[in-house]
Amino acid sequence: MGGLRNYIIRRVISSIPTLIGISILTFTIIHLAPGGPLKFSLALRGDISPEYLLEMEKRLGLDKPIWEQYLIWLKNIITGDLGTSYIKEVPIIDLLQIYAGNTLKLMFSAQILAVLIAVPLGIISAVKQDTLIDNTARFASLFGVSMPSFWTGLMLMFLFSVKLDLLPVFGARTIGAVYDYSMAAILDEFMHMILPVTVLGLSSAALITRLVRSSMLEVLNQDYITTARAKGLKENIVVYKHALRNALLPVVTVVGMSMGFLLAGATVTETVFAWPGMGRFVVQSTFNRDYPAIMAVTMMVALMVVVTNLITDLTYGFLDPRIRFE
Amino acid sequence: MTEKTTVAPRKGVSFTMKAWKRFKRNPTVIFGASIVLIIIFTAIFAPFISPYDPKKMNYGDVYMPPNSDHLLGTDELGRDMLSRIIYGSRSSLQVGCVSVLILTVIGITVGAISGYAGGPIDNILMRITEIVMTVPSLFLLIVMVSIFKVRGLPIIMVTIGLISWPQMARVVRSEVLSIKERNYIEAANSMGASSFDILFREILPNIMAPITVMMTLRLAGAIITESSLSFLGLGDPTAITWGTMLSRGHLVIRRAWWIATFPGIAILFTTLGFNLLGDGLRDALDVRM
Repeated sequence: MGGLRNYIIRRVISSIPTLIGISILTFTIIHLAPGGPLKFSLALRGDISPEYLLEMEKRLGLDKPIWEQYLIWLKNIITGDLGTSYIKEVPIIDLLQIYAGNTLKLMFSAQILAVLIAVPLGIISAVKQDTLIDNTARFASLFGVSMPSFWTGLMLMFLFSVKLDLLPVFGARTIGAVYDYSMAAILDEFMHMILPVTVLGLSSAALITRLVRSSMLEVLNQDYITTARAKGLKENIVVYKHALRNALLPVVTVVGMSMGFLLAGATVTETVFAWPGMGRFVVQSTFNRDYPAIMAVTMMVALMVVVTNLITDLTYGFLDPRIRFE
Repeated sequence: MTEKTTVAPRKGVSFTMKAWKRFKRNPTVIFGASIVLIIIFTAIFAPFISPYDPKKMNYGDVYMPPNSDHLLGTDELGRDMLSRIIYGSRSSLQVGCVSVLILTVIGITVGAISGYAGGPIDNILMRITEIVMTVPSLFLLIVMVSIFKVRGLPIIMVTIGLISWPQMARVVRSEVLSIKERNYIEAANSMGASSFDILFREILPNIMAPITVMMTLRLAGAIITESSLSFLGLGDPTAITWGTMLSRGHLVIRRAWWIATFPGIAILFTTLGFNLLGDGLRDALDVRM
């Protein structure tokens, strides 16, 4: 297993320049913005004297040159200090814990739903290639890819929450509900998750179905499948024992890689359902020019993507013994 | 023109001819292409087919549900929804075309140089590509678009283009890698062709198929991205776009369901058209992606 350990260490080290690159990119973009956080949002609070603004600017370090501000930020983040939100005036790490938790909850449930739908559908579609089932599945998945997820969310919300009054309209919990681990609280949370998870899960399922189908088709045309059939093996065994295992390999990659796609989808879905997650947080933070918050969320998201990519590659290696980590 | 070339297939059928033959047999391409043509037609002839002026407010007719005067109803200012949706196709196509043009130019340049040069240049370019790719593009877009004081479609189009090129770059790079070892490239090389010539005269024309497919699919993506941005309140408030209509409709959905419903259908119809076309093209041109 020495090779594996070295591989992980190497991957972690090589992701550091990427993360630094992302931080420089984001830092530069937000600091190029005309109208800094002070003028933009603190001023909205009412009568703030120019002297006070200057003082605040000094206190937040916004009077220093950009590169110096960046180095200070970098030094802080290395020591684990993500800074304080300009707007909410609480440590960002506290906010992130809540928001990242909520977003991850949404994303993982959505991804599980997506895999549960997409893998069987993709297999059936490939095995029954060019039949009515296949064509329907293909069209449905293309439909799903083409659908703007916030609109789907809006329509489902209108139907199930407004018209039929079956599900809660927004948020992660009912306002004012006591959050203990009672049955009622869990059920309340579950009801709030149904719609956002469905929206996000379906759009991801559409993507994965297409991939499962094409990778399954490719495997089914391989020589060893023909051999297996020629040996007189039952079609079920050929499909599920020989083909599926190999076809699922690229699927693992896509399920992992679609993290970024899901995060983007989560941004709009969270806005539709007022779900208190990272997507909504980043939108609000950019509106408020809350620099430390924007930086923290972006880095958090980048880190999540980097980590999932690593986990994906490792899983791939475990599933496919031909791959060696060196 | 098509007749002549099919009659005399002496030197073998050209790539375009083969592709065209396959298109005709591929219902997906036909279906997708028809939708795309309808959208283009709508965008060009918007002033002639829309029943009302899309900007004309009419306070007597606010929040009218779909009826015989206003087939898709009216919005909060009494403007005709159908006319606004017809005009909205212009913005969507503009956003799609401009941003795809930008991302294609950047993607081809980065991908071609990266694949052809190899070595440290390849390493550096792919690192940059990875950096842009790692942050979900919508996050970067939100940050970038919101920093500009002036909200406008031009800024949105350019920004989408500036951020969405990595996938194109990757596709181009891998195609260049697989093609640059072929004999005819070596032949061109030995005849003293410059790197620039080889890249743009020999390699590029041979990888147009995957580039075309990618462009079509990215176009659909760009349209969805623009509408997402508008929905989040970062759109151009003066332009007539489907996303902006949707974001207003979102707020009044209890009162007027049609304001959010129809622009969404328009977006779905358009992106479905481009996706069908891209998907069919991929099959017809035999592109593996």
